[in-house]
Amino acid sequence: MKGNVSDIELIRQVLRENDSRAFDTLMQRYSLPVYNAALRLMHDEEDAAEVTQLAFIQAYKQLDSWRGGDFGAWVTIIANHIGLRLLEKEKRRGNIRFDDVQSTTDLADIADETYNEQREEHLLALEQAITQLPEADRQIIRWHYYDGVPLQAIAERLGQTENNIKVRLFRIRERLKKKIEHGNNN
Amino acid sequence: METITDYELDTLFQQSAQQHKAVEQINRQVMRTVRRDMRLKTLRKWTKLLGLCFGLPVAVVLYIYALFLFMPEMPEQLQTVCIAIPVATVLALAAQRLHYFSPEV
Repeated sequence: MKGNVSDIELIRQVLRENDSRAFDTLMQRYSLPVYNAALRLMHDEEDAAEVTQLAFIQAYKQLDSWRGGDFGAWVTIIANHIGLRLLEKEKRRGNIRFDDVQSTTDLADIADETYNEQREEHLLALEQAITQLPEADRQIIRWHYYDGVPLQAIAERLGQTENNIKVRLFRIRERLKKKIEHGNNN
Repeated sequence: METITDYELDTLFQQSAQQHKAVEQINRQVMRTVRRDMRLKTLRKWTKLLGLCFGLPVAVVLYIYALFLFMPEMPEQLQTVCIAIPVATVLALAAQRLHYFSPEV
């Protein structure tokens, strides 16, 4: 795992050493924010997944034209271009119900209007709140909510009773709720 | 100030887990494409190298052998052309190399 290596170093490794693991690390870092940006634009999970995939493949193919700066922002711009092109294509095919679409800017606006901003804000706040948790608590959340591990099994893994884990999880959840309510400010 | 209920938190966890799964799937598919492309690049590089190491000497030897065979029967002007062509090709390739030369590669 190349967790601590900078983006520039990873890109150098991809370009000079043909190192696919370096690009994998870049993807792990930025695929979720890029996917969220694509979701904001496309308002459809399948389309957002397709746009994210195409954006990363294009970014890989044009990696030598990257001129520094925020790699995630660069891929997001590529994703936006691809997304707008797809929306335009859909519009030409008549798959978009909006009749008053005039330009790509309108398309982006429409995508934003129909997008549930509050839900995405909460999701983002949850992600950030989880990253701020101590590693042990983060692991419990990951096991239980992301990998679907039952509390009994978590208790066995950690050598604690199920009740202990329940109490711990309750406290973690309360902390997360507070963080989301306050927008991660405390 | 808005409050988050237990139900809302559970829904958020569910949606977040779904997003993570979607993103993992995307990562896998992109990496498959990237790895295939990298394998092709490596293959092209080795093919080029083999072509340069073996193909080029074979071509030069064949050309010289052909010259050796047919040169005595050729008129003088054609002989000059036959020698000038490879010399010009080598010079053009060298000039091209110098033009695109980059100390970083």
